[in-house]
Amino acid sequence: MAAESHGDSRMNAQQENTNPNRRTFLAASGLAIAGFAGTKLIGNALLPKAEVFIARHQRYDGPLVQTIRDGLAACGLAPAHFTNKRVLLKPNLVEPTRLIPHMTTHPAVIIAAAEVFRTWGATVTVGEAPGHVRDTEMALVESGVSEALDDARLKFADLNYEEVAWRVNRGRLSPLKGIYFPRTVCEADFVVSIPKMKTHHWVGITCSMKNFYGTLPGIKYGWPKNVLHHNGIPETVVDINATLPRSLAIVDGIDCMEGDGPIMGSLKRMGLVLVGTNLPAVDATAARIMGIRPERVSYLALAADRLGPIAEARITQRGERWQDLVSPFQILDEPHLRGLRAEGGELVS
Amino acid sequence: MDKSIKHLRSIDCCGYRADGAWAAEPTTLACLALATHGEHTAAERLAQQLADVQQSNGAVTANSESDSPAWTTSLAILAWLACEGYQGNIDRAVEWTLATHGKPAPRNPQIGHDPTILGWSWAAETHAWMEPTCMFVIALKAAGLGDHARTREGVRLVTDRLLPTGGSNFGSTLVLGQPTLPQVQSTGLAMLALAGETNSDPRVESSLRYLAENLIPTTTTASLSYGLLGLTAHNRRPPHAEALLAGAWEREVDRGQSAYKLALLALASVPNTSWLPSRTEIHA
Repeated sequence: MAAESHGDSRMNAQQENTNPNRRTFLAASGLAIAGFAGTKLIGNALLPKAEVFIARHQRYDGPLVQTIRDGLAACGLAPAHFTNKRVLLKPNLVEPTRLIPHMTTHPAVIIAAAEVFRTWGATVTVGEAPGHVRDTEMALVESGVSEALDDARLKFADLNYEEVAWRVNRGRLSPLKGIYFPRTVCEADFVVSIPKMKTHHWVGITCSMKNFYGTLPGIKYGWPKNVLHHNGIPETVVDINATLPRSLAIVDGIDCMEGDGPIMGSLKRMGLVLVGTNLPAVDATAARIMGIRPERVSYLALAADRLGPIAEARITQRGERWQDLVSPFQILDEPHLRGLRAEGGELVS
Repeated sequence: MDKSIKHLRSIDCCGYRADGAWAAEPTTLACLALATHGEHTAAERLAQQLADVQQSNGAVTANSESDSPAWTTSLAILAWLACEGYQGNIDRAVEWTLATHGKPAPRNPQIGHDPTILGWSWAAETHAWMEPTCMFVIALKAAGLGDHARTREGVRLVTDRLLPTGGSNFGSTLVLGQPTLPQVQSTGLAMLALAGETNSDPRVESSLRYLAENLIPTTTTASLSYGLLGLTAHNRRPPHAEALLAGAWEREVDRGQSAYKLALLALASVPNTSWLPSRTEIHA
């Protein structure tokens, strides 16, 4: 099926109503996508524990390249995994403004990640589909990422406006039969979520999984991507994560956002970088550090045991222990958020 | 700017990137830019491309695929109005426009805007937002339907979505009691949609001031262009507009000359609103 073939950029409108049998889909799509997606769904109970690496005392002008290398190695990844592979780095640039630098992924983390993968022989692209901003160039300039990409000679893919391809929804939690991804996402061997660690005024936290909303093109989903909201935020977060190519996370937890995240919250300095290959486990760990119960975060509860573990007993901590790093984030004093709190922490209005 | 028009004249496939696939928005803007600068043959060629992809229901989707969002129908109306011989296409597009609306919702104390007002959405069966509503208001006014009830309600929505201190963004004003942030592009488009209205809302004036203060040499191309279009429509074109445009044009030439960006700059270079088509009546 032309629309399903790996790297095919042309959407077939008829795919919306087609339910290809699994064998046909595998043959057309390539094992790299379908194999991993199948692994995600078949039996998480059969998977080993997920590993999450945490580094503390991190600074944007510090040795982030080494930190990220250490983190990837701690999670079982080696340079050979990335040699000759296409790696897409996906930061969070939802609605940048230089007045609120802690809203978006710091350029230093993006550049450091790029350097790691490039020295390992990967072809690296940075891509983003800002959800609140149609002028992607503005998002790049306001966030400081544009200058950093130019200095590092890194290619940027505007995921909002690329040609798209349709993929069967592998999560199947929302009513969406399929999900449109931009060409650069479809062609990637690895999609690396590089989020900012933040509270979120609707779902509690936003981290590596929610960051992948920004892999979907506005040209199909709008600004904001209301199609996803109307089909259920937690459900579509899980569905997107289930349908993407192989993913991993490198979390910018150095300068974080608390309070009225993901846009208007306050700066909270944590000095952390988290790395992991299982995004629910990464986000659950981030939530614990933030003083938030991951099982109370709607999209994490849905992702648990579908895409990966969120239970503490099934996450192997590498590097630092999360228990030593807990610093409860302020969250809004709203009924839908009050139940998220673990212990301590301040509710703010 | 002559070089931009010359380049646009030579492009047969207008996309968001210089090497990008065909898309309706760049095509419509390029058509308008070419028509405005007297390049009618080239404009007609692009108008025909839009006619060729118009759906049977009258919509023109963003990338010509039938299940894609059709907010670009608004821009197609403008492009056809600027050319000769597309009245049938305009009629069908207007009919689709008037029958389509964003999904309203009940008032919600957690958000600041009035979600009951009917406007236009990005994608079908989703809420109305600022930019698509602005585009359809502009198109309907240009098509001679400025007094139509839908246009009036669209104007009401645009005004409702202005931020408390002026400016606008994707269409959110207050969330959980907190004002959201303005953006130049959407504010410019909002001002263009509200041009010519008798609107005593003080947020219009504060939005114009916001634009004037935020059009600076580092303002990016799309935002700069829409910002200038909005200010110009209110006779508030800044004296340094040409310098800002020249800087943006140089940046775009360095990057490979995307039809989308060049068309926007070409339209923003017009020191008045003559680029906007205007019809006093529309055929039924």
